[in-house]
This record gives sequence, structure tokens and C-alpha cells, in this order.
Amino acid sequence: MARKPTEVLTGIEIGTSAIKVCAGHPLGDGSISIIGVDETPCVNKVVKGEVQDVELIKELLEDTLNRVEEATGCGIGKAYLAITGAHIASVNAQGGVPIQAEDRKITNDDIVNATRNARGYRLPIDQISINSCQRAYLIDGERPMSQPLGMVAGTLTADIHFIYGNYNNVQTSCNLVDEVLGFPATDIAFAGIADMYGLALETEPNSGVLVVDIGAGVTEYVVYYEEGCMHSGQVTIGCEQLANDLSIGLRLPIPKAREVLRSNGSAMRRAEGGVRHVKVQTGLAHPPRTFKESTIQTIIETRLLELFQIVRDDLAEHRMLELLSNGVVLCGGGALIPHIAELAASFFAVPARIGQPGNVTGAESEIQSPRYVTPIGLLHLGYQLREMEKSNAMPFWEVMKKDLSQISNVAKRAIKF
Amino acid sequence: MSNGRTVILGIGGGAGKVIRCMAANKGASWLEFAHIDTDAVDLENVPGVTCLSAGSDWAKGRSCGGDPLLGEKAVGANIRELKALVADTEMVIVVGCLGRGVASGGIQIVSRLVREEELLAFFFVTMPFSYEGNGRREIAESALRNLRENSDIVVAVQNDLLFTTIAADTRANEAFAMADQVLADGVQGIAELVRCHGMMSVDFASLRALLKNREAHCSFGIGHASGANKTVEVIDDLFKSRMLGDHDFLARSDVVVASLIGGTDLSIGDMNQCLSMLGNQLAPATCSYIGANVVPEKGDELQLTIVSVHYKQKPALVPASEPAPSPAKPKRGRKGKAKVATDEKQFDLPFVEEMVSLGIFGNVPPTIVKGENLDVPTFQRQGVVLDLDD
Repeated sequence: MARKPTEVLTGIEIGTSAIKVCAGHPLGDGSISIIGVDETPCVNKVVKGEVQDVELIKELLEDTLNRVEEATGCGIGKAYLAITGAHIASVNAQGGVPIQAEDRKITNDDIVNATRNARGYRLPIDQISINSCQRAYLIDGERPMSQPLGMVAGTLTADIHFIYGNYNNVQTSCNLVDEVLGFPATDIAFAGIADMYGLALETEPNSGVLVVDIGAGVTEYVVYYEEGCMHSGQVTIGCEQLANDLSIGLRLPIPKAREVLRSNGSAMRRAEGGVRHVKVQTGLAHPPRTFKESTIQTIIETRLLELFQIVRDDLAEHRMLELLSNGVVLCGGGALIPHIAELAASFFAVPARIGQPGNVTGAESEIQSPRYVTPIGLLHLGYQLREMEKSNAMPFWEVMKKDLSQISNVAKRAIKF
Repeated sequence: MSNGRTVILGIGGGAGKVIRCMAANKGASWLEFAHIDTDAVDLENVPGVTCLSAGSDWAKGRSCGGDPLLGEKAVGANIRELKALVADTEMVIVVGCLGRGVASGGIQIVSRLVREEELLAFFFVTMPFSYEGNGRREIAESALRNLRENSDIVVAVQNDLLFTTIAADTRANEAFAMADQVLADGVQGIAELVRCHGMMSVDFASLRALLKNREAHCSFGIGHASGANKTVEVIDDLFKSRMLGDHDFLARSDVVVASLIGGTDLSIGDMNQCLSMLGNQLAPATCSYIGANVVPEKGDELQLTIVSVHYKQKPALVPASEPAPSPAKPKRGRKGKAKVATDEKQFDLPFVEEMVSLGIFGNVPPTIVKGENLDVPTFQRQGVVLDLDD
């Protein structure tokens, strides 16, 4: 499939429930005009974020891309791919330099060297870095600082958050996209990082926000603090587990359970749930069955509370809970479950809301859903990376850019070797 | 990668003596030596050793007084020279006698440098004598901890063991010279071990896999022998070197890395005999890595170096982060009866568990967090009773 490269950016998410593709044209002011959106369900072919049947997914992806291409009318340009799954993990690496200048002021060189040193962190050989984010700089090993330039110090330590995944798993996804498109994806990103860009969060100084993307198979979470990702993680629990719980608990076939989740689901037990009933037609030969709404709500609530508990335990372990002054933002398909924001707000004891894709125009009725945050986030991320490559304001920036482009070409490298 | 340059870098005063000793060794001409220190007294020039005066602009050739922070700062000031020194090398062996300033602090700078430059590095450090007091030991222990985080291969040996083989009436200056020689031989043995043009070489990756991220107690031994009966004598001599610990210590080691160096007349029979004799001393479960090499300068002499590794914690067969999903994990029953964890072994019996269902997740990789299979519905694991009166 030969496609002419244009100004169109494409975000591809191969999710557990559906392959979602968004094509957009950057408008230059930071917003993106969406010119093509499509999705194809791929239930059972992707399990917990990992592709199970490569050939079939290739076909489905090709169909989806074809439809998006038709909608855009001008082909598909640079592609960005979201990566998720149980193999993703993260680690914080630190790298330090002694300050060499006579007046002991931190220079751009020191910042670059400290960052480089931290980036020198060696992952286990079968792992590949997917994203890396600057967390903070530490001056003299103890004072955190976001802009250390010009400070007087003995040593400067850069603290970097690495998100990495299994090399082979990442390569499977990259190869798949490469073979369908005919050219490799320009970049890959952890789905949680893409969400961060897709939500277009308005950050205030000294306030952090927790983004929880509850997908069908995997829940990704990222703590976003002062324009940087401080912590991230994933749990392979999602809406499929909810449907499975309902199917087992109510003894329903799985498609019916998914239907119940979609139409009668509620994340919290409601007062009126005990007296309201839900009728489910289980088969032609059987009479319809009735369940109390409260039963359905109990199953969903226990599962979601457990999921939040896992996220909170992990955040507590990394001392992130105190950073969440700006609350929790939920996205992904799971965010569509009614009352989930209330549940999250009461559980995390901070404000919670449902996130929508931000800074986009066009095709609004289709994309204004928390489900599209990841693919649209990929477009924003792609746009920013491209802008970063264009800009050459400072020589210091040049070096950083080189480092960044090394990181950002992971997708290409994954295919090359 | 193929130029085979190997740099031995000594940090601090103690290491400097070892480096000078090594430079004078037979068969060390293929190695490059460098020594960095703040103390000008220790930086005595010897042919073949590159000397770097650390932080010379402010330390002015004085010692840094046992302060690792000063040592770190001093070595850090010379990072450009160090970088030039280690550029394009195949391997760097860093020698440091921990417990004092330059070595304990400076070695951190070097470890970060080699990590940044993605070089293969081997850290050979000694821990202070016990009579040097707790303060030094603490400095050394904390330096070793930091070093282990940043680097792949760290061999730490106890200075206390150095003098155990030397007769008590030996003159002190001779004893120290002998101790330096023992260390020098050890470092050289290790260098020979991973030398890439050896006949039998142990590659760096396998050494790295042995020692990476593991708290290991290493000890090493060296045997020298020459003459007709050298194959037997070299083993005897090896067991005399008390750096190795007692005989049992070797037999109980988890991993043994051995390197045999001989002159050009080393015959395959000698080699076989020597290595199989060594093998007989080890427990069957011990994993051994054996290298052999010919160094013409050795002449008739045979040198056998071994590093014996004892893990503080035995490496688990299954990575701890992914416990094997056992189908018979203690599950909490519906009414929470099994909440009290009883003898886990009992659950290994092939009882059919009631009410544990995976549904569509029957044959996919399980989601296990803190030992719990999260694919089992939460309400089942928590014993929530559902109201199903339809």
C-alpha cells in the first residue's frame, strides 16, 4: 500500500475491544483538526492489550486504515502507535554530574550531561525503552528543582522516569503496523503517555493529576505533575473483566454480560437498586431472566474498587498520593460506566472527572468520547515531537533534541534489529 | 570492539600500589594502566602507568582526608581526562581500596562514567581491615552498595584475608608488598580471563549475568607453580592462598570462575589434568566458567586464578515478580471461611475447588498482583454473596 506522506498525522491504537485509528491535520496553534476516524471491533483477537492473531489483526487494521484514508481524501502520513499490555513496566533512573564550573553555577552542559547519564540506565537486555520523561532535577542530591539552570550547586542529578516493555512484544506491534502501512510508525508511545497529551490538561504549578485509562483489557495510569510524568503503571484489568464477572456472577453468556454492562451498568450501588429490576433475554427458548440492579452494581463496584485499590497501593508505594491535588481524570471505555467518577472521587478523596479529548476540532460528535483520548493523544504527541525536531532555538536544545530523537526513534529501531 | 584495549584504572592510594605492582608483572604488557589520586605522594611516576592528579587545582596534591564526598568531587573534576582514557576500550577494570576518600567517592564517578559510555567494566574492590575501625567500614559498605547499583560486576574482597597466609614474623613492609602482589595477580588473572583472544575465554556477558544485581560474596585465589609437577602444585598453591577462604568455602561456592595461564609450552594434557583436578574439588551443583590462555612471558610458570562467588540469596528459578500461577492457590471461599491462611501445602492436594471460575480468561496469561489471580471475579475472592433470586 503506497501512501504519499502529507501533513496528516495518524494515531493507531490496537486496543482489546477495538482497533481505533484517527487522522488529523495540525492547525499550528496546538489544536488538531480531525479529518478521519474509524474503529473496528477486534474482540478475542487482542487479549489484555496483546495481539493474539497477527494475520487477522493486520486485515482488520488495513480495513480500518482504508476507511480512514477514504475519509481524509489525502492519504495517511506519519503514524504513531500506542503500546500497552502486561509487559510494560517503569523505573526511575538517576544520573548525576559534579558541577565543574569555577563559580559552581549549573550550565546547560551540566543539565545535558546529567540527563545523558540518567539515560544511560541499562534496562534488562530483553526490554526496550518506550518513553522516558524528565521527573525532576535534584541539586546536591536533595533539593528537587524543575529549572536548575544558573543555580549554584555541588552536584546535579537528573531523575528520569523510564517506561519500558518487552522487546518482542513491542516489535510485534511495530512490525504489524509496518507491514500494513508499508512504512514504519514514526513513533510509539505508552498508551498512558498518549492519554496525557490527549486530555490537553491545563496544569497549574505544584499540582498533579492522576490519569486512569480503563480500557477493555488493560488499565493504564499516569501521574502527571508540572508538565511531566512522575509515575506510570498498568494493570491488566479492564471492562472485559467486568463483563466476565457479570457473566460468572449472573450466569449469563458473555455477549449478554457485555450488553448488561453497557446498558444497565453502574459503578456504585444506588439506593433504588434494590427495588429496580433488569430483564435479560438469554435465549429464544428461555424465558427472560430478571436481576436486581443492586446485584449488577455490586459486582461492578467490587471489581472497580479493587482496581482503584491496586492503583492507589502502587501510588502510595511511590509516594505519589500527595501530588494528586488536581484530582483524577478517567478515560477509556471504562469511563463510560455511569457514576464511575463519583466512585473514583470517593475512593481517592480528590475531585474526579471524565476526560474528553482536548484541543480538537472536526468530527466532534464521533470523537468526543473518553474512548478516543488515546488515539487523539497520539496525534498531539506526534505534533509536539515534530515541532521539537523543527525548532532549533538554542545549541543546548540541539543536544537535548538529539538525545530525544534517539529515544523517539524506538519504533524504527525496533524494526531494524 | 576488536582493538582489545583493556585499561586497568586504579583509584586512590591503595589501588595505586596494586597498579604499580601489576605494571611490573610478567605478561602484563597488553594492558594499559592508569592511576588517579589526589595525593601527589602516591602519584609517583612509573613507566607504563598514566598518572592523573585529581582535582589538582584545589586539592593541590594533598590527600582528601578520607572524605568520600571530597573524593567524588576531586575525581569528578577530571572527568574529561577519564573519558579520554577509557574511550575505545574494550574493557575497563577498576581497582579501588574502599574505605578512604578518593576510592570510595571517586569510584562512583567512574561507575557512572562507564555506564554512560556503555563500556564493559569490572570493579575489583577491597574492603578495609577490621582494625581500621567502624567508620571506614561504613564508608566502604555504603560505597559498595552504591557501586553495586550502578555497575554490573563487582568483586569485593576482604583485606583481612590478605595477611592470613603470610607468616607472622614476616617484616611488615614485605607483607604489604606481598599483599599488593596478591591483589595484582588477582586483577591480572581476571583480565586474562576475559581477554578476548584467549584460547578459552569467558565472555563478559556471562560474568555480568553472574553478578548483576546480586549481593554476592566473592573471594579469589591464585596458585603459581613451575617445574615438572606443576599441574599438581598449582592446585596445592591455590588452596594455600587464604583469600579464598577455607577449602569448604570453595566447595560450597555457587559459581566458580577459573582462569589458567601458562607459557607457550602449556600442553593440553597439563591443562586437562589441572582443570579436572579443580573440577573435582567443587560440588556438583557449582556452576563453573573456565578460561585458559597462553602468555609467552610466563615461560614454564603456570598460574591458576579462581573467583569463587557465594550469593547472599540464592537466585530464584522463577522471577519473583511473576509467581508461577498455581491452580491450587488458597482462595477465599464464598463465606470467607478460608481467610485464615492455613498450611499452604494442604492446598496443593488435588482437591477440586468449588466456585473458582475464570470464564473467558481460562487460557490467557493470568493477571497476578500480590499473589492473587485477578481474573477470578472480585466478588468471589472477597466472598461477596450475590442476591440472585430471579
